[in-house]
Amino acid sequence: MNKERQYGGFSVYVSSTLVVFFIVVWAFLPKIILQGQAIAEVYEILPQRYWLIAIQCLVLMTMLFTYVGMLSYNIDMLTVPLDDMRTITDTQGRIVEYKNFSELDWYITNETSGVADLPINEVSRVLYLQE
Amino acid sequence: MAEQKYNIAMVCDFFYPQLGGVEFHIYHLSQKLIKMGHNVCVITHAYGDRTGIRYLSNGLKVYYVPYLVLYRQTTFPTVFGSFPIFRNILIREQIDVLHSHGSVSSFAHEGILHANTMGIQTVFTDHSLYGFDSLGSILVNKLLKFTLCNIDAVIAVSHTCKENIILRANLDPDNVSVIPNAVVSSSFKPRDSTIKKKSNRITVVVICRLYTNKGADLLTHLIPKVCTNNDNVDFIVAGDGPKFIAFQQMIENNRLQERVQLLGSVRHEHVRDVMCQGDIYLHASLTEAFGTVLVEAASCGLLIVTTSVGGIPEVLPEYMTVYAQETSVSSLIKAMNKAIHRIGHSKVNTTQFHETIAQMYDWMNVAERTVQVYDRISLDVRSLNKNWVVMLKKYYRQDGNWARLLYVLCAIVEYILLYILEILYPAGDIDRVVKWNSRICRDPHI
Repeated sequence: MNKERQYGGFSVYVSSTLVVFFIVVWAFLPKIILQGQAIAEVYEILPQRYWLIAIQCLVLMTMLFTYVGMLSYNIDMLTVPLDDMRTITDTQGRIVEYKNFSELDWYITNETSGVADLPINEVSRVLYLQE
Repeated sequence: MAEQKYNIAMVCDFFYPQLGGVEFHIYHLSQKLIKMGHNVCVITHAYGDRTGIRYLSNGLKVYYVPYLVLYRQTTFPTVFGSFPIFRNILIREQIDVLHSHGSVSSFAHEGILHANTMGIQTVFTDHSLYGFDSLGSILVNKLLKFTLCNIDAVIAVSHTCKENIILRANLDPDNVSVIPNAVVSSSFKPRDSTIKKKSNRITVVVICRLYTNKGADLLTHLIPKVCTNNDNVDFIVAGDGPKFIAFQQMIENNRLQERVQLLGSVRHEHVRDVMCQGDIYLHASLTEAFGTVLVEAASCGLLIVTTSVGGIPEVLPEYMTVYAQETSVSSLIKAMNKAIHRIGHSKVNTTQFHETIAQMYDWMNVAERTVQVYDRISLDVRSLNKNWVVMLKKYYRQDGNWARLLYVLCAIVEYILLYILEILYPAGDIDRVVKWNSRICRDPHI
């Protein structure tokens, strides 16, 4: 591991700890204690303390909405309707070609070295046709 | 005593139509497990219009779950978001063992969490090596620590990979098995030796995705130098990726159009044909857990020139390879010169490579060893490993004062969700599937 990275990591660690420490102090220290002192000027520069709560709530709610939004997107947009062709086949599939049933039977009980789809009607025949 | 047959679910973000080592590992392993009489289904996310359920040859069932894809074919990680669909599939398929693949696949992580909660045995296979110093790998390692807390068994593809994952995820070494990848040696036959090569030119083949971690930058510096040093060497580069343009520029700057062929991405079934045009296979990867492509190239009868990173030195016998001592251009050039010398003076007999590889790497062997892992974990099925309180305790024993509280929180929410789902969609109302192997008569001799 190189030196620059170690220094970089350490400085990120120190500065982020300081920032957290500062925010906590800023959020909880009552204004009255600082009145009349020079440090009170810092409070005038900073945004209103109201934003501390507002931003946290915003982040939390965004997370919640992303969750719900993503799940609904999966179900409503990405899931194709049951009568869609895409539930059966697609442009990327390679359906096995066969001339007769013995050739097809080979595909049903043997693997191919590349990926090959079985036609859905033959799958249904194997699985659900009681003989 | 009859061997126990399992219902196995393979879970990974990466599967056909994407091509790569992990994808083919899952495919071939599943096929061999089906042949051994187990029932296997693959759960992955939808790829474009390939969505829903597909049956592949030999009755391998693949669930393409419609799911938002975030980055490089990895789904959006939400700890609980995939629980409803996973619960439905796992109950529907009556899964005994859930086998996840790949540490950057969020589907795999979520699958392990859900299966643990439902009391299903879980296995995880790691396919890649990770560092400890970059932001991305730190995040992945944290995630691994969380999901592998309650895993029943972990499989690594090489011994280097095993050491790596033990360190990354704080695992008990007894729990980690090493099972290498394999190749379908029948589809990587060497070129017909009866046809003699006419010219005395030597062709070097490079097949990799052109990313930095696969050594694309090394290659762009290396190829012009080798071409100027050796007049009788040609290159064939197959693969696509962000560094493709850098290769085009390298060819134009050095006027190597005659000698370097840039093929772009090649379908997996044509890889053998590309390999057979060459004499030397060059692999400049910066990190590699196993390197299936090396085995494939050696199986085609090519001499291998490679960096000796990660698990690569374990993969092939000494006489098939020329290692570069360091991962640098100069040391790779040295290794290349050695290999060119050996090929040029016929000091190496590559005709026996194929037979040797075919004996060393076989998917059936991989499947048998994997089943042994399944057997071992299903023996202690009645132990308390899947008890919720025990699992919760394990989460709480992790390091990190805040992290472990977060883990416990996630686990408890997960348990509550299971009850809510049970009320909304009772397990009794979910249809159980007809299993492919119950409908097919297999040859008993296999």
